[in-house]
Formats: sequence, structure tokens, C-alpha cells
Amino acid sequence: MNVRIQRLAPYFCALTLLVLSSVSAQAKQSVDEKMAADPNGSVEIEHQNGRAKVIGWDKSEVSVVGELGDNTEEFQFERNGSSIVIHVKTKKNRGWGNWGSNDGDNGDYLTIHVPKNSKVEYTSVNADVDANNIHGGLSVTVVNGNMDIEDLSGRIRLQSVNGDIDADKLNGDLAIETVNGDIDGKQMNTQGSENELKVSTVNGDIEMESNSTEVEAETVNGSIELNLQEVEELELNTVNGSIDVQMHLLADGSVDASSVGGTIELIFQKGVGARFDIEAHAGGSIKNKITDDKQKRAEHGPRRWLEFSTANPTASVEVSTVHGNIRLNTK
Amino acid sequence: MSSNSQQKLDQMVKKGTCELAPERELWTGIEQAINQANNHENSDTGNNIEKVGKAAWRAPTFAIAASVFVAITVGLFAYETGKSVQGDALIAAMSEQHQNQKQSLLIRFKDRPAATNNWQQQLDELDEAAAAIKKALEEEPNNPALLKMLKNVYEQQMAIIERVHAPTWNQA
Repeated sequence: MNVRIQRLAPYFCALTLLVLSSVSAQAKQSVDEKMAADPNGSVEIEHQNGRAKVIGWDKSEVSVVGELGDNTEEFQFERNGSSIVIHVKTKKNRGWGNWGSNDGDNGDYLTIHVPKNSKVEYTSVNADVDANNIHGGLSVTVVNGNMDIEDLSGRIRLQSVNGDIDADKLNGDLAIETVNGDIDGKQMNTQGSENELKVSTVNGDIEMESNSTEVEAETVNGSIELNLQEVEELELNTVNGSIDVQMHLLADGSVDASSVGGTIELIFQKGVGARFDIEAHAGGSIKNKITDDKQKRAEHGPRRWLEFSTANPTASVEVSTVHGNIRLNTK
Repeated sequence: MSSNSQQKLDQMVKKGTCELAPERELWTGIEQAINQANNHENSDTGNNIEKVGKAAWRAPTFAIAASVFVAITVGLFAYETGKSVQGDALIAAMSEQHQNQKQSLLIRFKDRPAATNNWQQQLDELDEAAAAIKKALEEEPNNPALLKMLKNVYEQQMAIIERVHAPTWNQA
């Protein structure tokens, strides 16, 4: 018996090594593929974990280079007309079922080049994504991954649950949403392009610079700091978070802001010409440093309000809070 | 809501989603009510500033669905009573329908993993915010800014539930 085992031992070792090398080869699957593409087409990218870099270039082709994760079941790289799909499919019951875990799989590490005027749609669960030099529009949706986005044009939609978003040199119609993630961004629209900005968070903090004339921002508990230029229409909503905005309000511009318990501070250009209508329904405070007008208090109950106009009041500013603090100032 | 209007609502629900869609734009009913309240307040105060409600830009599927139900409820209520819905009745209709819709959504997602572990706390905080707004509405039941705030808080609750349960990935 022992002799028989001794004779078979080398075969067992060889078999074990073969299996291990096969698993290892499968786990470290490399990808290096390219495909001709419509320079103005669309590219849809979907995977679960890891990291992706999506870069626009001058070539009319899409290239994918990198390494696929251990749990990869299928790598799909296909074209249908002017649309290209890159989809890393993972084994079932992995990935989404446990947001914070990827079963020890570090995921895919992909560098994807696309024609720079492509419209790109990217979706992942836990992957971080970098995107730059894309000018046909970009939509990114992640759960836990962070985004580092730079030099984009077109319709831009960035959505994260827990991941942070860092975005710079954005030109176009922009909307950014997070639940817990922070947003740090700069939107510099060129003349004649769409110039809308919409930012939203539940608990995250937002810091944005923008030259959009139409801006909407909302938060539940997070803080929002907006550094704006010429504003035509501004809508702000906070529940208990703080909002701090600097702006140059245009002559026909309007500001509509509301807060339940959060603080809103609005800083206008010197000489702003507007009619101000501020209400605090159940407490809070209204502090005005634009004129000498002071808040008024109801004889009975906690209601306070402040109405005043500056010279040539063609713009309008309406702010309403339940019991938050409102600050008005010029700079 | 009267039993008659509840029956009508039930009948409409049975007929299916397409027929449930209001003939006019979503939130028209609510916004009319808010604007009526606004006009009422303006006439009271002599304030000529026009405040027009505007739907939130972030309007996920179920937030829209909630809006449809509230609009239907308000429409039926107005149909039943033959007059516009304002004040306490409007707030009660909004709150009741929101609670129903929120519960439906929570049941729908109850077996799905959530992407955050603080979403229920966020819902609780929004409940507290809604309570604070409703308390202020007791003093000023037709105040359009407060009604709009309440609508916004309800929409945010629905959006949080939907976003943290990420149906896009859960369906994968």
C-alpha cells in the first residue's frame, strides 16, 4: 500500500500543480482588445469591482487593456451599429449581494480608450473610475466607488451612493447626485453650451464652482458651498443641512430657497437690485447685512419675516425656513 | 377620504397603470392647490409676489408614482366636495398617500440589500422634518412655501429608499 502511494505521489504533485496553475491563469486573465468605432458613437461599460480609466482619444477605435477579476465569468466586447458594449460579467450571487465585499476579488483593472466625442455610459458597484477627455457626454453610476472626472463636455450625469466625486473642467448640462458621498467640482461652460447645474446629496458635502446661470442644489443633512458667477435662476433646498452660496444675481434673476432647520447664507454682489422676501415660520433667525432692515416678529407665535428692496429691484429673492437661520450679505 | 372616493380610487387602480396616469401633467393637482393657497395668502397679505411650485429635478420612479397618487387623491377629493382642496385637507391627503406609497415601496424592497446602513435613520430624520413642517402648517395651513417643503421632504424619502436599494444592480 505504502509503495503504491509512493509511486503515485509524483503524479498527485503534478496534477495539483496543473490545477493550481490553471486557476492562477484564470484568475489573472489579461485583456488587450481593440475595435473600430464610430467617432460620435456610444460606449457602454459595465462591471462590478476594481478600477477603470476611461480616456478619450483622437482615434476612431475603442481599446480595452488590463486585467479581469478572479470572479469573471465572461468578458463581452461587442459592437452593434454605432454602439459598443464592454461588459464584465461575474459569477452569479457575487458583487451586488454584498455591497462592501467582493469575496477577496480585487476586481477588474481596465484602461479603456474611446473616441473623444463618444457618449459614454459607465456603471459599476464597487469600482473606482477615472474619466477624462470625453466630449460626447458621460453618465457614471456607482455605489461605493469614487469618481475622478476631468475635461468633459456634453450632457454629464454623475451618480454615487457612498463614493466621493471629484470633477473638474466640466462643460455642459451637469447633474451630480450622491447619498453619502462628497462632491468637489468645477464647471466652466464655454459660451453657447448648455449651462445648467444640478447637485444633490443626502449626507454628503458639496463644494462646487460654476458659471452656470441656472442652478439647483439640495441636501438633507450635508453642507453645500456654491461659488457661482452670473445667476439667472437659483433653486436651493435643504432639510437640516447648510447651504452657502456666492453669486452675481442678474437683473432679471430669481432665487428661491427653502430650509426646514438648516442654515442658508446667500452672498450677492455689491449693488444687487432685488426684492427680498424672507420668512421663518416657526423660529430661527434672519440676519440681513445688505441693508439696515431688520426681521419682524409676530406678536403671537414664533413667526419672523423680513421684506425689503434694494435700489432698482428687478430680481427677486425668496427664502423660507421652518426654524433655520437665514443670512444675507454682499461681497 | 370618503368610502365613495376610495372605491373610485380602487377602481382606477384595478384598471391599470396607464389609465391611472393623470390627463394633465404630474403634480398639476397639487400645484394648483398650492397656487390657490398662494393666491389666498396673497390676498390676505397684499403680497403680490407670485410663488409657483416647481417639481424637483430629481424625481425617481416611485417619487413620481407617489405624486400620481397624491394628485389623484386631491383630484377625487375636489371632485367629491365640489371645491378645491386646501389647508388641513390637502395636508392630510398628501400625508396619507405618502405613507401608503412609502410602505408599498418598503415592502417591495424588503428582501433586497441596501447600499447604506444609515438610510432608515435618514428616513426618520425626514419624518421629523415633515412633522416640523406640519406643525408650522397648523399656524399657516395654506402657506405655499411650507406645502412645497412638505412635498419636497416626501419626495426625498421616496428617492432615498429607491436609491439605496439600487434596483438597477439588484435586477442584474
